[in-house]
Amino acid sequence: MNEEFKVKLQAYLDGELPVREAAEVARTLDEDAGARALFGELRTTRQWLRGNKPEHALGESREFYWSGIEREIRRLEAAEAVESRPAAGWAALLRQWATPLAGAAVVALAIVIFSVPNSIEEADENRYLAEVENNTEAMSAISFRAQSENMFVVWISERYEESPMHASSTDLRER
Amino acid sequence: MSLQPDRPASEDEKLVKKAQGGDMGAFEELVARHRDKLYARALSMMRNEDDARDLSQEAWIKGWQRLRQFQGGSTFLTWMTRIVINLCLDQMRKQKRQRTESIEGIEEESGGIERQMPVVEVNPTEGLERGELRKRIDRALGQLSFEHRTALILHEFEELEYKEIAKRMECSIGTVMSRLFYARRKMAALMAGYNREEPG
Repeated sequence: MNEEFKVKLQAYLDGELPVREAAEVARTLDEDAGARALFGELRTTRQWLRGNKPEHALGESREFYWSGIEREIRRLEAAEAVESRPAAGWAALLRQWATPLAGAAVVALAIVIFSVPNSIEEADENRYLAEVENNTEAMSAISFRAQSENMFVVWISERYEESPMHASSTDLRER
Repeated sequence: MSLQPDRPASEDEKLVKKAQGGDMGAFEELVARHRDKLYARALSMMRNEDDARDLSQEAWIKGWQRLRQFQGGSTFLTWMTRIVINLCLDQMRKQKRQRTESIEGIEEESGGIERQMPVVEVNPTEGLERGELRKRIDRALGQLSFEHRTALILHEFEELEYKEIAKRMECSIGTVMSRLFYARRKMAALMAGYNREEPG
């Protein structure tokens, strides 16, 4: 008796074999005592189990066991009710548009922060690099910006003397 | 703690109808009637009291949520038992994913030691009273692998066909046949062994 036949024997017992194969197994059972013994064992085991499902009782009281179930049912139903509740007029509109608008605002802000200041700096760089002179009758002023040092210098001098000028300087730090 | 008596299915039908209409009191009565049977089925499969209690409670919660889908094609208890069995199978799949398949498991799939076992020719349960027989069956079930035990439970207790068992256990019909065969053989050997330990 090979393993395949043994499994077939069981299928015969369970009524799961096609008619032709069932007839073959029945013939073998008539002729083979070993097959009959195995068939008997399988049948007996099936009988024990079918009539004797194990029984176990819960150790908890009816109320305690139910309270756990009821609490969870109520919690799930409350959560479901919140999810399915339609939002009121403006709130629904806000919920509908809030996310796309917020997204657009963030993108716009990012563009301003990252591109606009750079372009201003790039555009103004040459202007600040140059010295600017302003000569009036009473005084003269020279301003200078050092981009790399992040420094803006204004040199003011009085004109009433030819001699070395009395000067004051202002160091304005930007940013 | 005593077991609940069997109640007529017709009483269940009335309670189910009320519960389907939203009567939670009726549902609570159904739980009280059948909670031990559901717990026993979960315990037969899981072999752990805490898991069995939690899974049986989860089954009742799912039962309430899906109550409108129950059309009365089977008894309410059968319907609920199928829910708890599916939950047990899901739970075992989760646990299996978390651990590596053992060599023992692979051997059990293909029969292992059951291939060489001699046939048990004398009925080892003769003369046993029913309570004792049930205890021995439960003890023997506990010594089977989850796959073998589940195949037996689905076939012998739930009386499902091979095809239906294969669907639920997510395997081929051939695998079901093999699991069932070796599970039965091992059960026979275990029962004979208990008989030698403590003669009936």
